[in-house]
Amino acid sequence: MSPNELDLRRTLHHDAERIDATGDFAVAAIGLERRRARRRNTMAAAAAVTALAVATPIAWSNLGTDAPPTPATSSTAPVSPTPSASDTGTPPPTTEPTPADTRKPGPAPTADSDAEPQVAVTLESGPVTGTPRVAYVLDGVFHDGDRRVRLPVSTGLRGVARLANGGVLVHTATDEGVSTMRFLDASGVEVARAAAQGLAVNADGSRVAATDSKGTIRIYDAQGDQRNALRTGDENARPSGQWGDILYYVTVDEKGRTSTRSWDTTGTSTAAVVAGSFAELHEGRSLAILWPNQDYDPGNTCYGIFDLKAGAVNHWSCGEFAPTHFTADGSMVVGPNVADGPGSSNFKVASADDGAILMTVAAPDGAWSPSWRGAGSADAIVVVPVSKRDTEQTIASCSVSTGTCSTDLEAVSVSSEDSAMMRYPIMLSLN
Amino acid sequence: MGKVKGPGEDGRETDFTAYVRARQDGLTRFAYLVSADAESAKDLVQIALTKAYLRWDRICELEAPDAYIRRIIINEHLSWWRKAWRRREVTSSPLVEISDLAATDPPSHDAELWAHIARLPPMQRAALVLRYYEDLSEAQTAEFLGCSIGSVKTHTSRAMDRLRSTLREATA
Repeated sequence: MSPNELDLRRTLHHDAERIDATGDFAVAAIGLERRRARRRNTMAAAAAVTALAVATPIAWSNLGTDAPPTPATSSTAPVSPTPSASDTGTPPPTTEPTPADTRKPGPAPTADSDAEPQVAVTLESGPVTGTPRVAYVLDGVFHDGDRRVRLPVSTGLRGVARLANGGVLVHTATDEGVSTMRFLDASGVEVARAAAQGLAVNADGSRVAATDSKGTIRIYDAQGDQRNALRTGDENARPSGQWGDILYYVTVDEKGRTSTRSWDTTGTSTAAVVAGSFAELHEGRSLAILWPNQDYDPGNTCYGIFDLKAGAVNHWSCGEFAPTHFTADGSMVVGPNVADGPGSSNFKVASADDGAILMTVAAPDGAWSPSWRGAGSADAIVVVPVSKRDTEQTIASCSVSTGTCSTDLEAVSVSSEDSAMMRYPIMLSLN
Repeated sequence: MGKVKGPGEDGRETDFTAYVRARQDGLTRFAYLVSADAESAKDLVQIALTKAYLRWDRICELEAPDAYIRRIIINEHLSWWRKAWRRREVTSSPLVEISDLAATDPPSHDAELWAHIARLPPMQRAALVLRYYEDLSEAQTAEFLGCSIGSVKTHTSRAMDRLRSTLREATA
């Protein structure tokens, strides 16, 4: 049987007719925007109160003005772990945890709107007062402190990372979906290239793990030399992160359920770790943010903090928060607030120890806040808000201890077309 | 800081509501074909319309607001960011309904072909939907997907090759 264009047209039209919009999307969209507007107003007011309480003129001004910010590789950077059997005590578990192990949500910390500092991030609140605490790309140039490296690609940029030798890793994808990573030396000259459908870079940039389209994971050093490889047999396999010599990767079954496995990259041994996938690992604290599969708690948003040494979840949190990153010291996690529905520009910071919500931040006049990351000092969050109705973008830092945010970069314009396509000029480094 | 309701707000809302009520079926079906999933379709349409509502003053002046909103739907669906987030979203009111043809109709060629279309890589499926459901030209499809005409040809031909090959395997 060989489909032709007529078959395709008939099938697509036939299947499209199966679906009907039975609700009122206009009411839903207007209602969602109104809820967001209320939240933004509340947060802006809360931020103003916070600012008065600490006798600063505005809640978004002075972080980083007293002392120069330290780069992400400062003393707050995690110590590289060596999770061998002798010092971890417990090797990664070798069996898939039973449902009983993973389905105990425990107490679910929820946001306490009275106690939780709420900070409004806006470009209009003050001048540039800080310095970006994370490496980033702006209009094709990699910025890392005072260093600048022009990237040898102009389109299809998917990610960048610092390498331990001072080089830069550049991840791109073509329109056809072919993903490639390039290893650049410190001057920006390409020294190696490899396929990379998915990749993970460790904190100091000394190890890069990448999968090809057939599901083989390869480990490279900072120079781009391959160190080891593993055939997973799953073309959807993706590296999640590295913990010393252990690489964690996720596989996907036919029903879309994810499972995390470990690979000791000094050899070939692998082991099942846990159902679900790791959003990010923190090497220094030996922790990972675990996203369970949807059947963990249908209709609810949950995550776990997974102890890599113990091979078990420390605690589960369920509610409106979906963390994607750790702060630099691993004491907190940061990610989007999902209670607002899709596309929320609010994000939250929570304790990695007990899940308590510590801060909520919003970009009041932007519809989207596409990325955020823990970086710089221990309690600082770097966020890249899109503001003024998606026509400007900047880098900001928010501090949990002071409950304030600062603008770290002069705002850059986003064209209407790029905004519609969600192509933004600023991209944060992966590490 | 927050948006102040101006004198034109009510008119804007009425205008937006009228547009959405007239177009929501079409947008939902488009989102369903692009995502191959009813829940994703609902989310994609919600995202697109919420974003459109924010900019309605500008969008309603466009000759083809549909094209703008469909572009958001496509872009959102292809975004890695949303894929990661998708699993975390809290779904609320039932806005879409999907009929289970398998329960009423005998297995058909269409159903089998759709099952294979649904398993295509997102970009290839998007190209097929734009070319054969929306009946867009290769140039229009390229503009929608933000890629070259050559890429559209590649996506389309790879999708067709893949469908032929999987259907051949299924019937072997």
